[in-house]
Amino acid sequence: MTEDDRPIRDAMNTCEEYQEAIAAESTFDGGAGHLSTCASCQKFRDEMLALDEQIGRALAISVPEFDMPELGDIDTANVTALPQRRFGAPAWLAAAASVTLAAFIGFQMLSGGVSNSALAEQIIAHIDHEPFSFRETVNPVSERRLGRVIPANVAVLDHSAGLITYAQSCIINGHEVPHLVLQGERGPITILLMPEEKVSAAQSIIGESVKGVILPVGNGSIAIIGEKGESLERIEEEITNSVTWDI
Amino acid sequence: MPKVPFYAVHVIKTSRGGSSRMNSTSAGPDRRRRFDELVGVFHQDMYRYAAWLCRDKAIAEDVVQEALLRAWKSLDALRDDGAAKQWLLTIVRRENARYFERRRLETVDVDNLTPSQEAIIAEAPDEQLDELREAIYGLDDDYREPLVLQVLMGFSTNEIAEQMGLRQGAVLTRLHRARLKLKESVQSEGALQ
Repeated sequence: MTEDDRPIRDAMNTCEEYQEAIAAESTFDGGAGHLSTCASCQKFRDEMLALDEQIGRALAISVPEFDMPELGDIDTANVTALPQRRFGAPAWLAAAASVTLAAFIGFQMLSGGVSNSALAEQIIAHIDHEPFSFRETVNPVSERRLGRVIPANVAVLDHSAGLITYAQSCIINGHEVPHLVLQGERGPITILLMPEEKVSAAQSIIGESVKGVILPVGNGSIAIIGEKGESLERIEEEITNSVTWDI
Repeated sequence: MPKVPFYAVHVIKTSRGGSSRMNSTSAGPDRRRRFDELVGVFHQDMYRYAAWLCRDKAIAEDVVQEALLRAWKSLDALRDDGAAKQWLLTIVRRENARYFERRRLETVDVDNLTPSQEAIIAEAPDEQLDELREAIYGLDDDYREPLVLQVLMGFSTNEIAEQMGLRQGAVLTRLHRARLKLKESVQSEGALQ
């Protein structure tokens, strides 16, 4: 008999049946007739109740102080009318919508080497998947969250590089990578730190209203994507210098 | 960093139902207030469930953070706040699964735990409970999870079956075996009195 075939018993005629039931649910209140005449099952039931009391105490581990994550604005589809946006981010939200794979313009090698368009495609698809990261805001993510999202063996980065307003561990090409958004002069700038994604050469990413680059950094790479017109060079330098994996 | 108040009353107003649509002036604040209220009530359950699923306090914190983000994004799918606990725990369960899909850390050597893993067993200054906690920690996931849902979360065996995608009979079997294993462990340690 498999575990799925286990019968759900209402009538308890034997000690085995009763003890199975009480061990599955210590508050089981069936089998009163059997229980009233069986000292062995009464003892077993008392033991199970005592065990459950102990299990409950053992499971109730202490809970650390609660930190609400940065929730961001959610464009709720089933809210009939949204309140006026706190953040003036229509350009980036529009950009996010436009940076779909279908509308994607292309990748261009800045120097020789094999094109790694699959990685770029994954990055664009991922950014499309998290449009809420694009909000314009003056609220930084906490240092604690930054520390949690960016392991020390990936990078050492704080708000001196710029106002970081989004930090999330994400999956790119099967690897967990820190996904950050930093507020640039023209809008939010997406940064992905990818220590396990080696690219042979710098690769540009060009969209309708965005531009970016995947830069080789040692055995890994970083992706930086901002609005067209945004000066990404300083960010590239800051981020490259922050990286702690082997270069 | 906004702090969520913890509410003394662990009861949520039910049946927002289809009327959860909000007008143009109240959607944002109401949505956030609703979320804060739910999280304030159920955060402890989310964390403990995560901790016993992954058996690592640091990972549990990450799992809960990710679960909260997902819950926030899909809050409007929750039509009845009376079902919020099961909804949130389902999200925690999925996030935990995602975490381990990413990291492939299924095997835990109980004799060689990291400090974060050890913290679950050795957190309380109660030797008797430590023995039992270690025994729970050492249970297979298949046995530990329904036990947590039943004893700590107060779920019925039907609800556990739904949460875990099992038949009720399978849940009963697992619970039965889990308790017998724990009973055996604690009796050998003399902890159950």
